[in-house]
Amino acid sequence: MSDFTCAQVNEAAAEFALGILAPDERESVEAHLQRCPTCRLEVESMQSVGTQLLDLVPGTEPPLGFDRRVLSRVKPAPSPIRRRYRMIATLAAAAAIAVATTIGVDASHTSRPAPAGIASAVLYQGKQPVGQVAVYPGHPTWVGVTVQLAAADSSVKCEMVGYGGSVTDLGSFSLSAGRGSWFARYPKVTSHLAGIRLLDDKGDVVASARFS
Amino acid sequence: MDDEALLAGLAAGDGDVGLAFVRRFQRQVFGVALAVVGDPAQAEDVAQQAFERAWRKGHTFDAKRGSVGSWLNKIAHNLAIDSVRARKPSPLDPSDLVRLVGRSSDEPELRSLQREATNELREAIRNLPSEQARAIVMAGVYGMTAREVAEAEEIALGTAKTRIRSAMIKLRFTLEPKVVRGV
Repeated sequence: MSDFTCAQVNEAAAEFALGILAPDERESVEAHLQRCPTCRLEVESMQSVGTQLLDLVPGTEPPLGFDRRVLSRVKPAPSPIRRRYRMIATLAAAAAIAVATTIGVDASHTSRPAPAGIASAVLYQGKQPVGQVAVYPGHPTWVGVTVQLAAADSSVKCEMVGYGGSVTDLGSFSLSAGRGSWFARYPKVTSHLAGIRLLDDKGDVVASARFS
Repeated sequence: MDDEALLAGLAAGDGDVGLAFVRRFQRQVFGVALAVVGDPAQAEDVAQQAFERAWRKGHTFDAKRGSVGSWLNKIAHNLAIDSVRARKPSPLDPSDLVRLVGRSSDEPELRSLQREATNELREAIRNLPSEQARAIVMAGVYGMTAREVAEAEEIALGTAKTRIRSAMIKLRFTLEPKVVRGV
């Protein structure tokens, strides 16, 4: 790469401004421009012409739906966890309404996110949220669980844990591709409930939720 | 909303503002992409990439260096040229593009000063010797190098370089008085 003189830069200015110079020549021009304000002005005025030339290219209507397609690329999609969690929360809410209707409770009360008396908690596998539980006190009390574990067909045992350490079996439920959603009856009084846990067929806790 | 506000909204991830931004500029971005690339499907891909880049780089836009539209055109132009691996004249004949570029647009321009400069540039292109007009369109719009222009026109490399340079000087002269007046 040799140093360009002002004369050489002038010769190459139009091509440089249009971005069509070969890389080695471009570097020579750039090196010269670093120390020559006169040539910088020359090149900038050429660049301005190039920019305005592009402005003259006729506009063309793109295919239908172009703007939507751009937006779907540009707006960040919800992260996999957040999307799952929203789906789970929606499932739980829908299920709650379905249950309330079945057992004769006025559905309008249960359609609000967290009505008084309903305890809900996030199910965690370690630190990872994997689902949600909701307890609907009543006669009987219903416990709604939705969970998404690693994709596998299996079954989990669902247990209610009381503050005193008492454990109540709520039943076994099957997961399809790791996903499960169910309601279980809880026959006892709902005071002093600590949380819910799910165990695999080996008896290990795979997920748990704590009520605040 | 003005162009810069729309760009700021796009860069911030505002869906409604982003949509307005795309709608305001999609014709020109797609137009530039199509002029270079020739194929509508490829042009749409380039145009989408251009908006994606504008979203990511929106925070770097410097109003002192030019308009949002020109900035966006440059992004689309660079992407279009990159996407055409062998830089041959597109299916749109350079002479046709010269005619299109030289024709006054019936699109309402936002500022009359802009319209004035644009029409004067169009007139200057119409007044160029046709071989210079073709050369400047090939180089300035298609991104062809002087060597590629020489091959396409079957002329010597030096002749191609001279045609490009002469055309640029003539066009600059048309715009220069505006620059000197500080407009």
